[in-house]
Amino acid sequence: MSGPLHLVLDEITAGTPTLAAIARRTGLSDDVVRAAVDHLVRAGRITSTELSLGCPTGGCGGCASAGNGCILPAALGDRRPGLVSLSLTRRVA
Amino acid sequence: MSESTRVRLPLTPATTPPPSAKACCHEIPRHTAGADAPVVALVGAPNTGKSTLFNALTGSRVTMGNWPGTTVEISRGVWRTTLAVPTCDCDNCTCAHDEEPLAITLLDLPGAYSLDAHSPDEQLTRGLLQDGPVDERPGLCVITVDASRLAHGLYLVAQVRELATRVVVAVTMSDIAAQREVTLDTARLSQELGCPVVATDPRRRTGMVALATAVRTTLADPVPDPRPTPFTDDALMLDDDRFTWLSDAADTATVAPGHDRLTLSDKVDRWVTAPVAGPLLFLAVMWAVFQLTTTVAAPLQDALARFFSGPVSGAVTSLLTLVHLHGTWVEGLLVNGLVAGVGMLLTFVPLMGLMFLLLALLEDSGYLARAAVVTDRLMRTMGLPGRAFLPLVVGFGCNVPAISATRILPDARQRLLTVLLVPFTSCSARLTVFVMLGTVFFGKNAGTAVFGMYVASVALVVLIGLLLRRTLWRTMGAEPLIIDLPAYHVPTLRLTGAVVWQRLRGFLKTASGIIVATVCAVWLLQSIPTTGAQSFGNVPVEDSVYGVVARTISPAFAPAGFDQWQTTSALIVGFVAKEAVISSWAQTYATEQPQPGQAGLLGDHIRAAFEQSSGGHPLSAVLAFMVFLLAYTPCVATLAAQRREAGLRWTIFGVGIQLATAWLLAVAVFQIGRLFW
Amino acid sequence: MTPGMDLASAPLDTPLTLIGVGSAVTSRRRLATLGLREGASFRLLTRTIGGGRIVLVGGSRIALSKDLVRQLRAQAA
Repeated sequence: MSGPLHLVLDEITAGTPTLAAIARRTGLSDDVVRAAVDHLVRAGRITSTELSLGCPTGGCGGCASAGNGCILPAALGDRRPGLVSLSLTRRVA
Repeated sequence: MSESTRVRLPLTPATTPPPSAKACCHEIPRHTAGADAPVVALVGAPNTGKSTLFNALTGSRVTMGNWPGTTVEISRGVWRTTLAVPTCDCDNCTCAHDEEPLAITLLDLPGAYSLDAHSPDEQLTRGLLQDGPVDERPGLCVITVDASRLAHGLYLVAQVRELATRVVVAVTMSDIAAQREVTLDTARLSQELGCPVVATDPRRRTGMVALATAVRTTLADPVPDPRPTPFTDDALMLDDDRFTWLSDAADTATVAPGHDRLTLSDKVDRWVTAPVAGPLLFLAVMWAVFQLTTTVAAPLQDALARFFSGPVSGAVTSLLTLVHLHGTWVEGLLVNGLVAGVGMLLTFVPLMGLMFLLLALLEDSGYLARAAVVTDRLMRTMGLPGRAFLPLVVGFGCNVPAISATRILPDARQRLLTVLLVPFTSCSARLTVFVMLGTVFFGKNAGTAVFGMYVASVALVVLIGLLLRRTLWRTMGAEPLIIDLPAYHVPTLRLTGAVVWQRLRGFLKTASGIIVATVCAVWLLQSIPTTGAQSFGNVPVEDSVYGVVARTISPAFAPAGFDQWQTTSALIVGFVAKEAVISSWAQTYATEQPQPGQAGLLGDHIRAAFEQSSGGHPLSAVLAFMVFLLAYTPCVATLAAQRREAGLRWTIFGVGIQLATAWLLAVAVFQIGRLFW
Repeated sequence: MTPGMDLASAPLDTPLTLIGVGSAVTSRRRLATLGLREGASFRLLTRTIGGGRIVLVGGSRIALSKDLVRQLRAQAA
């Protein structure tokens, strides 16, 4: 049985688009999903990049890789209501 | 000693000594409760009301400064508490002795999310709690946790509970939590966490008595057993173990408000999931999705196709004429290969974009969950969840977005099964060929023949679905349906738009290579001459490598009654794109493409061809051909989408099943049919 | 004889308490995560097509299929 961190990582890899959708699909509460994402960012497992929609070269272009399961949660924590892109960090060696 | 001998370096200690709670108090005597007083550390993530709590408990008896030897700023104060009063304000306590006054040295450690030591703040906290000898550590930790972000704050609790430390959790009820009517069962949470939990509001100073009591009681207790952890080195596993623990604890202790109110959503749901209204609404939504994608996307697709075959090709041709390459194979490659390939790829953009948009809207609005409930029983017979209905319905418009639509299925095996079934849905490109053949061979029964193909398509989906499930995934679909219905919600356009763009980009990235490569490959095969008389690029189709390949494959279709090479070549082109079947068929007879609805010269050729190849049973052969076209591999764009969703191996497996099914069915139809017609 | 009734025969719009998941052991964890654990109070909102129910528990609405509804047992709160 997988813990919340693994479940959330799997969802991000699969390309689930929002935190709410992750919560629904994993059966975890919104609170736990948000905490898990925060933790994974801290642990360096996911990288978080702020997106500004409408900007041609920034935005999705700044994401690590579209094929790597880029997700777009509506908000990361209660702090920033902006659009943030999360992607798996490429591991070196 | 000469100067060249080694210089004795001053000994540096191997490690700096761990921070000590006692040392802090000894060095600066102000605002401590004395050498023998218990030391309580106040820890917690930032923004959990820790400092407010600290102030509430210590009043003005506070010293701030750097922890010795570090740059970390801490506050230290005295917390006086009696049995009667949680915080006693008097400097020299004159409370009666039987009220058991207790002075505690309170350390306000900087905000720390965890003990993982990513910052000097966290390092100090960790050092103080974990590294020193037991009597140098704080006697108790009060960990503040924000009720509105429970899971966030409980991580530190999980880690501290792994140490031999007394812990009291102070849940700070922020305004936000109160607004959301989050009710926390502190007794239950305390049971789950293995330490006392007190609800407090430091700003309004409620819960102070309970906190003081909890601290006093716990200080008197022996150090509790640490929380057991799994025996592993894997950091992620350890972290996840903590998360499982805290997630279970948070879920158990979060209680709904006493009376859940009925909302408008619930009233709507009464109809949306009702026995009669539910399916009707669902069919209406499906019809709308189907119609939108075909009628709105179709003209855009046509316009794009015309743009590429017209102005773009013309521009490239003009450019080539300027460099004297007009009429050469280079022109053939660029115009019939690259431009045609890229053009075809881009014609999918309006279709895919629209499909992704509709799917995102359906899912985000919350309707998709209800649709899953409505269709559940029907799809369950195939071991698929109700949601699988949507990709299959979409497949009748075009298989390519239908494959992407399988993402709405949460389970990987169900996704895979649906991805393998989508190609058996008869897409609108196949329809064009069915209509043409129907007109040529069945006259006024053309409509019936086409309808029959659709029935066959549905039957195939169901049968293959059952077959695959019974053989490969026998245990799938055994779980009962539990769907969390999110509240209905107006989708945010900005977010939806971002998601759609993201998915579209992904599709283009994967599909572009395959589609362009295939179109170029077909052009190449059609350009390579097999006899010495022609030059590269100027070859009639039947003498090209392409024609030779078609001739070689044809005999395989003899049992199905259509082994003419022109017929076979149409199938080869159909592999690239079903939309191109009619035009390339005309090409093999060097005639013009017929007007829609009329068979024209092409019809005559085909009639003659089928008459000959079937040995006098053209109708059965045509039916066999149509069945083959229905079931064999879909266009290369679908394969590209399949590869993206299911991987190469499963895509190849799918191709195998389709070819086998198509051929067997075609042969069966012809052999049985020619007994009658 | 297990006390209470199964959800299939339970009335709608009445406060109920869950007393057991019967043989639906594999779903127990998932149900618990959504708030439906033993001792939880909930209400049945609607009958859905196919004999299922929509349950209102802890602020969430959960759709359950017919087989599950037959296995869960509850009593009037």
